[in-house]
Amino acid sequence: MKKIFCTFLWLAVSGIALLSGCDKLASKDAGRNLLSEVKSVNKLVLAQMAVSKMATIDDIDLSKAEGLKQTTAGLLDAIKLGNRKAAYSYNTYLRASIDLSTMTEGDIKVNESAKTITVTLPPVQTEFIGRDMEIKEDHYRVTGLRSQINAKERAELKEQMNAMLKHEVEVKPEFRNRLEAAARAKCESYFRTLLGHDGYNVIVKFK
Amino acid sequence: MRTLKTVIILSVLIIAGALIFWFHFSKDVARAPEIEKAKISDISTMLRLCTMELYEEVPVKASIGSRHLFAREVLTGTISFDVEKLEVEECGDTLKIILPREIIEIYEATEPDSYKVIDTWNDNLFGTSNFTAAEENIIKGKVRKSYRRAVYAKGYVECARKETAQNLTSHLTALTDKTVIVTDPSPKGYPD
Repeated sequence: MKKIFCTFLWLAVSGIALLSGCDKLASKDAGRNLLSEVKSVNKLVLAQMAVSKMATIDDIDLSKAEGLKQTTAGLLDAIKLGNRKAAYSYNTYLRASIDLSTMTEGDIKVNESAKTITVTLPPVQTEFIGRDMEIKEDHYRVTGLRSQINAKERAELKEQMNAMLKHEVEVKPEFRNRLEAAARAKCESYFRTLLGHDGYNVIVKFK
Repeated sequence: MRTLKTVIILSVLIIAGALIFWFHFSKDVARAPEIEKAKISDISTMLRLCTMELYEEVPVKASIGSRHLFAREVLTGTISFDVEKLEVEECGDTLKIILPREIIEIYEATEPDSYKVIDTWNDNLFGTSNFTAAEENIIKGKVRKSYRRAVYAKGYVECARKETAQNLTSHLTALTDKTVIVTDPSPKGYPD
């Protein structure tokens, strides 16, 4: 009996130690120094793309469950009273720009006899500028004895969506290609309007 | 007999403990959400001169009644100026330009863990600590407003306007070969 009591005591102490460890991690995170940075740039922003992502929270369908973990989770979900379904979405933004600070005097050449102006511009660069701060709740149905979807769960979901979106943009060049094409067209029309007077023909090139 | 009983009880306890541990840590993997493929929802073209990029980690502290939320959020932002809205007046060999209103865009960063909920709690022992998406969005809207005010208060806008005037002068002088004069009607920007 004494041994059993000792085992319980050991388990309880281990549990408390584990929990206090988690607390330490959280407080360390909370107490971390917050970063702040301001950077001067000289960019001409030409185009912006909004990419939307949607995710659904739902019980695991037993017929679609793969492996022991999902089957067990599916079984547990099936015996719980009520439904727990929700759908969330938000936009992430990509921007295309040219860095004007890298332009030199030699990048603009005027040929008086041929009446042409050749502008050689820095390459169009695309980058993520950020995502919506808010998350859009497209659907929410939590009934019966099911737990509500909380802020932590939504934040974790957004993290997963973000990681997946960045990976998709990385592996599928069509996202950046479409943005770059729109940016180039805008840039060409701007420089043609700005410089194409007095009968000059403007040729816009990219490095 | 007594030792056997102890061994059986201990084995059951260890197995139960291991199962609880396994269920707890495998929860996320087992209930992975269904995430749709990314879709392009909009492409817009523009001509904006961006002179400042902002990056800030902010603590998010909010309360609704007896419920409280504490989170950490990483914000990114830009201060830019619409080139197509520049007021340009041509007087012989001189271009007179009036600097327009600044455009401040504030987003949540796309780096990992850019929004992390650290704690939610309720002062009442049996009260819920849950925040709905709508409540959380209102909180985030306030964070954006507060950061926007800070951008003006810290002088970032003033600095951006000054740099934009200089950049526009050099950029347009090089392109048009004319004397460019940029005037700023509101050096501290337009906070409203």
